[in-house]
Amino acid sequence: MRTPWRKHDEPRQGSRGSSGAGSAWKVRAFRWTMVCCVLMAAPPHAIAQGDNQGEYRVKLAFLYNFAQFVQWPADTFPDSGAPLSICVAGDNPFKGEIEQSLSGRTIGGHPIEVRRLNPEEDPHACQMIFVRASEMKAAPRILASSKGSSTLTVGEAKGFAERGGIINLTREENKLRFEVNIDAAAQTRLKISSKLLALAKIVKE
Amino acid sequence: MWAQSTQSPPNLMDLGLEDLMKVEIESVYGASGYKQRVSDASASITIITADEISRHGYHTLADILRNVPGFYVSYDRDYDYLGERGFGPPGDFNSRFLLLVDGHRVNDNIFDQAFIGTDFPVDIDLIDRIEVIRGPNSSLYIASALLGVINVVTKQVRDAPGLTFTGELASYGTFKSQLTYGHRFRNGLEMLLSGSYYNSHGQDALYFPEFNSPATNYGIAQNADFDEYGHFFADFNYGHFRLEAVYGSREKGVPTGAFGSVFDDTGNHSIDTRQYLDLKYDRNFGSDWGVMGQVYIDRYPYDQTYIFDLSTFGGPSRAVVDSHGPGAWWGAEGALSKKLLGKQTLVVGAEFRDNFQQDMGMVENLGQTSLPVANVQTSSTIAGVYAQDEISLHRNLTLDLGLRYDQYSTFGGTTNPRAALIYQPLEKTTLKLLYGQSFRAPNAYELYFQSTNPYFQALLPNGNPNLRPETARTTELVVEQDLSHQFLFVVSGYYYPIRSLISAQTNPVTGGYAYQNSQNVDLRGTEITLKRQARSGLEAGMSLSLQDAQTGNGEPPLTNSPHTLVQANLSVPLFHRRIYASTDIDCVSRRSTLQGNFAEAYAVPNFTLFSNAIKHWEVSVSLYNAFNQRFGDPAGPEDPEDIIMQDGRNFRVRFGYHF
Repeated sequence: MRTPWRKHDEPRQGSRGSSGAGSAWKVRAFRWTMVCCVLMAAPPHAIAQGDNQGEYRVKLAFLYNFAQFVQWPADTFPDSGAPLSICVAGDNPFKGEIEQSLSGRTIGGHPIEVRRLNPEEDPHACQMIFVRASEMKAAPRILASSKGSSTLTVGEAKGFAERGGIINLTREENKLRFEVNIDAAAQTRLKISSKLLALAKIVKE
Repeated sequence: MWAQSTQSPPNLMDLGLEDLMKVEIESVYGASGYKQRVSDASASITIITADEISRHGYHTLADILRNVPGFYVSYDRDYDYLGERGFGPPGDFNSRFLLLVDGHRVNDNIFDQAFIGTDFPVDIDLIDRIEVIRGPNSSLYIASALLGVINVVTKQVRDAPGLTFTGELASYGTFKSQLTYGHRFRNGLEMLLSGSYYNSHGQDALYFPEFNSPATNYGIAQNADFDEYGHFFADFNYGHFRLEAVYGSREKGVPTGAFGSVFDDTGNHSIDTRQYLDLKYDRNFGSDWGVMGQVYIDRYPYDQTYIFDLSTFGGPSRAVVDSHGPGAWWGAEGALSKKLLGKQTLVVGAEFRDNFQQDMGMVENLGQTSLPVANVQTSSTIAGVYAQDEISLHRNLTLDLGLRYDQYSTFGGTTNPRAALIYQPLEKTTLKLLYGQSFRAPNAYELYFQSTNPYFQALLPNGNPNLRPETARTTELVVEQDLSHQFLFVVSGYYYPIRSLISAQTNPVTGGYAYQNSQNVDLRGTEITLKRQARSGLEAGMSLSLQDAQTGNGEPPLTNSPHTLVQANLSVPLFHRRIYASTDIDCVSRRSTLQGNFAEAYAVPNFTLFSNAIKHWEVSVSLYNAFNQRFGDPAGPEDPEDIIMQDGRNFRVRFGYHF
């Protein structure tokens, strides 16, 4: 019975027309539009020409972004000012000027530290491990030790996520994309934001 | 300061992920074209994320959709009705939109209704994102997608691990509580369970000037706006399988005296219950092959109760008339995808749906006895096959072709093609040319409903088994331009000729009142959207829609069709992202009504403060219709009113605690 019934033909009392309530709407809409315009016009962080950005400059920016969309359990850090460590398995490509681009930036109050992962070191001390393509042989060992921990593993070689890495940076033509292995992520204590997942290609093992 | 910021050394660290994904790593200079993954899609799409939902304090799907460029919503205090691009006949049940939850069709099998208000069976808090696809998609999705597809993607365990409790308090005696539990077992099984209960007393007194007489309480409907629902949701993921169980039941008081029922009687109400089980299998073999399978079983028991005064016909003065279903159906779908030579992605699939129960009953309760006034029992089947091929013609040119054939037991077969060309002539510019044909099959009610009682026969339109599907051929051009990174400018122009629209008509010769394929409508218009997503967390969007809906020669003009929509939203992080202050405003130009009046234009702003800075807690405070604007929506043909007034200023407080 949710379909149109025939309208009753009873005469209506008086003509109702419109309530006149919307008379000021144009003024209000205009005002709001102006407010939005002003706010949208705040200066963008434009990239000026002449920036010689290499592949790893972009990759470090990805890592920095990943860190913002991942929530580490509070007990991961010894104290509130302790650094968030990005450890590189293999040669550290982020040295010098590239690393400088992170200076002064923090994640949840933690300064960011980029360093090479020492082979003897306990990988749990790192909040993030970046596995270089050259280190894929060592990947299974690193990945096994990060299960159940709160270490975000990020790779850059084909098949890294399928083999249990959490995030893998891939190249599509000359742009970077990333894959997320949600099963691997679920085996850690990390919480990954849906915003990150929305942009990722989801892969399974 | 401006000059300084543009001259200061550029830093990639200021870019968000979406922008980084556009940076060409071999190029030396700047970011390349603004190409979201969305812009790869061969359709005009808007995505709304869970973050936006919490920041803006949206509490129903209707709230979310009214902020999507080109969409507007009207509410008759029973159901929410979605309009798009100037097309939103009052009182249609959103049957021209396909509503999906994780790929499962939510529209029922009697009215094909898309439930977007408090009757939506899944909790808003469980939504991870919503993909709104404008235009027809009959070549991939089954029927009902004449105007668009709304795909709701729910959260998974990784988004909601552990136990979460949320509570809400709002105006009009409204409260809601929800408990969600997500867990991943050692064997890999992921389980998400959620239950919620909502109860709203509604407005104490609603005034309808049409009823302003002593016999009908001077037009005041008291305590007749109540709204209550319960939801249950379960999601199990194991390996390549996913099983979802959904139950949602809502009861809403109908205060409008709809269908000529007795005004100011709290017995008028509607109950809509949606329940289903859905099992999916999704697997990729190597990097080339993919296979998808789905089976489901659905039910839609509905029960609408109206109180009638039949004393003038020698009946009781308070006759309780129940309309009820249920509808029940099951279905299956399978699809294969294959990458060919790295240049093409081919998808082929088949789908079958068996509407084994499509009951439409009406009973008049007369105290001790009851009198059936309608008893329609029918069933139907739908089978479809489809193919889609995405061809990479050139580095910056993609062609997407789709074709679908459906065989309906009710009206026969229909073939619908679709094509999209996506071209990126410049780094920062994407052009999409979209063409599609689509249809809406007549629903079971329009085909078969028939009352056995002469009184109701005269009042309710009769079903017409000879109805043909409604059709649309749509053309759209979309231009996406990256103005500087963080800014995206989108312009689209469209032309939608829609033919053979089904509506209830009186035959001038026989006087019979029945559904007919009668109206033709041409929709033309343009949408301009400017979006900004800043690294700082600031998000803003503004859109202007100019739309023109023309009916065929000699046909009455379309009602509830605004010419202009202005929609804007802004969300600003404060105190180092501890608090987000957000606002959205929705401006709709005046709309004509069924009785030839106008529902005046309105501009309604909402404000929300949201914070999740305190560990375990999530808190938001919202003020809706902040300036207490009085505005109304055009009523449907079943309502005695012509314009139905909407809520004034109201608030909501929401908190969540994560254990």
